[in-house]
This record gives sequence, structure tokens and C-alpha cells, in this order.
Amino acid sequence: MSQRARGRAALGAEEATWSRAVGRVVVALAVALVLFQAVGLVRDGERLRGLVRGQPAPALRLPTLAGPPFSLEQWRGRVVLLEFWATWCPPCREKLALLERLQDELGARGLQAVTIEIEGNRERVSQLVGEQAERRRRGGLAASAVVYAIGTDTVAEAYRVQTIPQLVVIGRRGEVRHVQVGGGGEDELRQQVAQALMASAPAGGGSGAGATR
Amino acid sequence: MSERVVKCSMCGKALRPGQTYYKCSVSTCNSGRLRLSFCSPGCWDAHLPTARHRSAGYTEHVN
Repeated sequence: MSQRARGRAALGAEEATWSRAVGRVVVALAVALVLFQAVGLVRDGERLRGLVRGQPAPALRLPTLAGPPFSLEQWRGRVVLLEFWATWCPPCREKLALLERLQDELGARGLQAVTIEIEGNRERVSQLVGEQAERRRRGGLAASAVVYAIGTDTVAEAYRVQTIPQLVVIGRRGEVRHVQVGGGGEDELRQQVAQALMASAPAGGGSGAGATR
Repeated sequence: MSERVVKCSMCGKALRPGQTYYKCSVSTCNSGRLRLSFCSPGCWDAHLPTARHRSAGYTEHVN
């Protein structure tokens, strides 16, 4: 082999080495990018823990329309059905009636329905609840045991509410059991509430008066 | 990821990433530059006399 040919061969080998090195760097960068994204997704997942099934529901303490402030802690031992709603939302108002029916039917078994208006519109809530109470009175029903809490956008933020109505079923131990978004789905909701009531029924089968920590 | 350090608006303790903290439910505590964060319900409770809210609550968040 001539000297020139040997020189060309050496150059070719060097180029191949460089190509392999560049290839390795590109692969390493791609792997690093994927890992970075994966870590970001895990962190986001942690931030969404408020709505992860089985995780503790974010703590709440909110003023109510009538009576003392509502706190999730006070209902520990009961199944809590939360509805996040706004006064201008017709499907939300339909859900209010559903919550009152569920409370009437299942309150004695340990259900506590709580509605949380997320825009702090106390006057309008008062008006709507008054109308609902009047309908109940005309129908021969006693006053509803549903709690009407008044929240703001921090409540929606805590529970990752992006669409209303949003319903959250919270088990007797304070864990998120089910999240339902939008109108409809009464059968599914009833099934989930029934499962929550059965899954963690207190010994003795009582109504499970809320124990405070 | 946000790099700013969030501190408890009452006791000044830094809120670590991933730590649970509390926000006041009253909108004036969360509007404009005033974004109050509390490290515990106790600290939220302590801000009430100065805030003079008519009715207030808190919500739990994760930093």
C-alpha cells in the first residue's frame, strides 16, 4: 500500500471514530431529554394528587350559607359527596337536586352531600337554595341536610376543577374514591356512592358520626 | 418549575417544593400582588384578626 493510500485509510478511520462519538453524544442527549420529561411528568403527577384515587382529599374549610363553617375533617367517618358548581351553570343546578335526593335517601347510611359554589356568589346561592327549599316545602319534604358551602377559585385550584359540575366522592377515611365531571351519569354516581358506603361501613353499621381529629 | 421561594405569609417559614400549604378562600387574599400562603391552618387562623374577613376558609395545596 502506498503512503498516500495509508494516509487516506487513517483519515477514514478517524472520521468513523468522530461519527461514532457524535452519534453517542446525540443518543446521550436524547436519553437525557426523555429522562428530564419523565421527571417533569412525575412531578406533575404529584401535583395532581388531589384527584388521584386513593389519595387523601385536599383539606377544606369553607364558610357555609347557614350555620358553622364546613370542614372535611368534621365529616371523617362519613362518605362525603362534593359538588363544585357555579350559579350560572344549568347542569350544576340539576346536580343540586340530585344531591338533595341522594342525601334524603342515603344520609342515614352515612352520606353527607356538600355543594361548593366556586365563585363566592353568596347572594345568588342563597336565592337558588331558597327556591329549592320552597319546592321541597311544597312537596311535603323536610329541609335538606345538604351543606351549601361558598368557595372561590382557590377551591377549584385545590381540587383541579376545570369543568363544572365536578363531583368527588370521598371515602370515610378521607380518601378520594371517584371523580365525575359534567352533567348526567346519575347511575354511575349512585353506584360509586353505594360502593363507598359499603366499602368502609363503620363497625355497628351506624351513620358514622363525624369524628374530628 | 418555578424557582421562586414561597414563604408562609404569617410565620415566614419557607415552603419546600412538594410541601402542603394553605390558601385563604377569600379572593382579596389571592388577588394582585397579595397572594397569601400559609404553612398550616394555624397560621391561616392567625391572619384572620388582621384580615377582618366576614367569612373565610382555607384550601390545601401542594407547593
